[in-house]
Amino acid sequence: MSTQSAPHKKRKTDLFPYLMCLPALILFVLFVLAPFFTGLYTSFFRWDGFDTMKWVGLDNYKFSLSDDIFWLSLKNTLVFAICVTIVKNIVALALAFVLSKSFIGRTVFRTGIYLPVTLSYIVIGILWVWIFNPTFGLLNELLRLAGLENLILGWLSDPDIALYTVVAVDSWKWIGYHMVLYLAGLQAIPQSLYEAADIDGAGPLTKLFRVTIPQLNSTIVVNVVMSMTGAFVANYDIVYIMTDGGPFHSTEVALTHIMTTAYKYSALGKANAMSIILFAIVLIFGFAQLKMMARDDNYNN
Amino acid sequence: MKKLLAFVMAAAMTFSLTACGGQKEGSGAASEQEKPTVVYLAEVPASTEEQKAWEEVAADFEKESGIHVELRFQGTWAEIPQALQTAKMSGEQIDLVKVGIGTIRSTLGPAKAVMDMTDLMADYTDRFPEGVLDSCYIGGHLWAFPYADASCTTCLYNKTMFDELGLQPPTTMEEWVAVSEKITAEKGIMPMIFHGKDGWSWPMLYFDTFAQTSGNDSIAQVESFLQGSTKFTGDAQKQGFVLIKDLFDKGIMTSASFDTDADGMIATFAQQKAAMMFCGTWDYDSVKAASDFEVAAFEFPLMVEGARREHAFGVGDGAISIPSFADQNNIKNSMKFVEYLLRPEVAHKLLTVNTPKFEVVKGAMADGDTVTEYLNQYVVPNSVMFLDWIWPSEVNDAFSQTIPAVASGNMTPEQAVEVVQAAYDTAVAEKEYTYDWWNTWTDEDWAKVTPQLPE
Amino acid sequence: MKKSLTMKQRRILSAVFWGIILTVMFLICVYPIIWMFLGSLKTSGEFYTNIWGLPDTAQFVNYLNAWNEGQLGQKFINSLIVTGGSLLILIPVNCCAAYAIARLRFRHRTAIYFLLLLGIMIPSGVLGIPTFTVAMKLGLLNSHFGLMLIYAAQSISMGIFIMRSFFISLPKELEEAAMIDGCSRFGGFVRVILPLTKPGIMTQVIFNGLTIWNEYFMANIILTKPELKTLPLALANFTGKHSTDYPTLFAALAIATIPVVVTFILAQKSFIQGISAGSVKG
Repeated sequence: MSTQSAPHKKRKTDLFPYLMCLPALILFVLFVLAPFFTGLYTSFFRWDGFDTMKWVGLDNYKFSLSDDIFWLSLKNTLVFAICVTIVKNIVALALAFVLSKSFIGRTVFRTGIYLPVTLSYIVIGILWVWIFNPTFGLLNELLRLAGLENLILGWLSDPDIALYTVVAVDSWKWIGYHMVLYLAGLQAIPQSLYEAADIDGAGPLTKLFRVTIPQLNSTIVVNVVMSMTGAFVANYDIVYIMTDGGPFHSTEVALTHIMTTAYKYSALGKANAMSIILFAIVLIFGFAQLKMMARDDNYNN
Repeated sequence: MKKLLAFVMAAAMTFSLTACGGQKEGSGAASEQEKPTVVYLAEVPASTEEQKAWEEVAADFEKESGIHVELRFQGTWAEIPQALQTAKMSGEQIDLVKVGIGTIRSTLGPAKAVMDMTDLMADYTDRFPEGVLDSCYIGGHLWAFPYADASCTTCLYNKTMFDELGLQPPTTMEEWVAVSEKITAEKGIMPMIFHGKDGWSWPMLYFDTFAQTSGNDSIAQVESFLQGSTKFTGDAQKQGFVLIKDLFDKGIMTSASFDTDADGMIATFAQQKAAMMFCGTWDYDSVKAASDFEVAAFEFPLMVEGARREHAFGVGDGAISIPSFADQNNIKNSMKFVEYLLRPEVAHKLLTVNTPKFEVVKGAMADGDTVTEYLNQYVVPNSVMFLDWIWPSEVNDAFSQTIPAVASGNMTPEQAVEVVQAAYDTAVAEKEYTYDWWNTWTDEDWAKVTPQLPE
Repeated sequence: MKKSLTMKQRRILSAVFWGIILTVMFLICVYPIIWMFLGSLKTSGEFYTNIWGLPDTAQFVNYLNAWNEGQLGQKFINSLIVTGGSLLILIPVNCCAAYAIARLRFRHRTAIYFLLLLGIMIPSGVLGIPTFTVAMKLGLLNSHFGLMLIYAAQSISMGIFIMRSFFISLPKELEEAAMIDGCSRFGGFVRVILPLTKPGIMTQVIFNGLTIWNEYFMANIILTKPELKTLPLALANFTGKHSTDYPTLFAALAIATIPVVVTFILAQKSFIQGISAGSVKG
């Protein structure tokens, strides 16, 4: 009761919003910001993880920017991110539309399409690599049965194709995840809006573009930003198990190159410098996306 | 809803309290231990039998010596350096650690993370068969002792199929091509399979081709390259790439090898969709278990006239060492455990759990099958150390990426050797990589890794 | 008459079209789980020679071996404690912060929001070892509670990002209605607003629960005592440096997947009920 009346009487700073954010801020500062700044700090040192750290100033950044493979990996990351963002969101949104309608077996379909999200990378690695296997793989076998022999390719060994193969598997794994977010978002759209549109005699397409998409805006922003940033900063596992950056760095993304530098080359300083550069890129991309897409920031104004 | 939230909060509190309480009890129990304790850090054993064997050995040792051994099995082999690092940061006790000798040479050694065990081990060198300890000497000092099976690269073949076709395993390139042609013609399958999807596998082929193209001087030439005395751009170096490309051009291997991972290679061979495979001895047990035909081994054939066949071999992929941050006063206890581990009956118990192919510690050998006998008879005497235990990861990765590029015609051997040379140059420039770090150390550096035993 | 027929035809046509697409997607998505299950019933030799077929004789003993060799029972309980505990911390924390950011006006709102959002932009791996250092300094090593705090903290950015979008989509008048009913501000949030974002809370349970359930890196360096270890760490028992006992590993993975799938099936029901915001308005 007191929280309610106090701010109205005096024009003091209202503490309530700050108190609501406080636990999150404390945890975030302790276990995200503090470690992150430690990482930033070590990027100015040469360090193998064991011996004493040696201050090298901006050398690690210079090394990173003159590293051809790093540039190549950034290019690949960008291609990867754009492709998976488009594929995941379009397919997931379409599936969410269909699966938000009520029909028998809906739960089975929803659960089925979500399953790849739960699947271990160990299984995904073996299974997909074997599906693409040229000798006993399922995919080439299917193509052969369909009489499409000329479509048989070196799915993971052709440098022009391998990256897109990884894109396909990554999309497959995460479509269920985005579908769930879209489903939850769709459920939040008030039914009354559709009823009103019905009264106006709107067709399904009109309803889609006049009601659903605008109402879904914040969910779309969440999905696009998450798939985009995820493709930049959290795609290590999928690339590692599918190709580990090969053949000839054609699927090298920033994270695989960073992990290799950190744990195989024991150059933690340089790896952190590359991470910080990557972070800066994602920061620009992420906030540009938010600015461009988020119309709901005017809430309450 | 408020009630629910209150419940949630209360539950969260209870959780935190119990969790905290649990931790305190745990640490209290640890400090109560009066017994001297030796902590042994290693990767989680791959089988329950091995884990049980270690637990029994630790218990027996405690009965005999009164020293408690804490077995700290953490993560995988590749994660041990990281586990060692976090233990060092948090001041946890680690007395013995199992790592790869290649990791010591490239990382832990120059970082002064492990002790010089030369003097400590002086009394026990006779516990190992002749030559086994050689690979654990770096710069004339012993940094670890091997305590896991050795391994080598080898060719395996489907003996049942070879007998049926009246074929003999090839010894020269000509024979290899002829055998391959016959297999393709008669069986309609690829002659040989290799796991080229795994980038790390490609240097394995290069070890064997370069041994021949360098005139059986591969180690010395690589050392000279790593010391900066010579460039890696000579003819022998390029020729090593060319010979691997020949395997594909001459129909011994097919493009299928580029897309096949290690498990896929085993599957292809076991399904008789390839008659030969090039692999490491670590693959042999899986191959044998999966194949319902007779599997035999043959030496990588001679591809260069006038050269000798040499095969990559290594002992010390699992080697026990003492971290340099270990408590000096406890080294005596650690060495008692080491002595115990090196007794023939103990070594036999621990090392034969995983059907070893080679005798690493005296007494630690089970009866081998024909392939094991063949490897010991022909491969071991003609062996050179795995080059990837000598050159840094940057150089190894350059090979991993360039060899398949050359073999598939996407790159020339001339470009490939330049990439390798550039990888080395970058490591020197960015990390101050020095091959012979032991020669650059000051007395102060040595003091960090030299055990100061009491008395 | 004619028009209604074509409408009907179109409806059937579109139903068939979506039916086919759904079925194909469904098969591609479900097949791997079936393959994993079949693989878990094979012998290790059969795993290589009979890749796509049914096992000759189902080796249910693999499950027994996996359970015993990995000591999965204890690890299962540890994982439940850590995952459950983390969710109990992160859901109230995220909901409170996301609510404030989405629906309350205060001076540093955007700054706090963008600050907390940074978490989804930090490359994975940067935080690993430094987080260990923080946990060490706070005395949280070898403690489930420490791990819970870390997991909760590192899920904040994503959780707030998702929850905020749910709070924003609710009608503006809700708080006023709650106040008229005599609720305090916090009471209104808990009693009126929060129940309406059940789908959002459930997505957090599903996603964060899954991430935490499978987390390996931090668990491996924070929990070194055997009795504290979680399920993902147990999987190392089945993988060697070069050789892996796949059928047993797959059996262990199948066991580890069950709670995740069950959670999803239970939680997704909340999307069906959804929110009928119209009724709240009225």
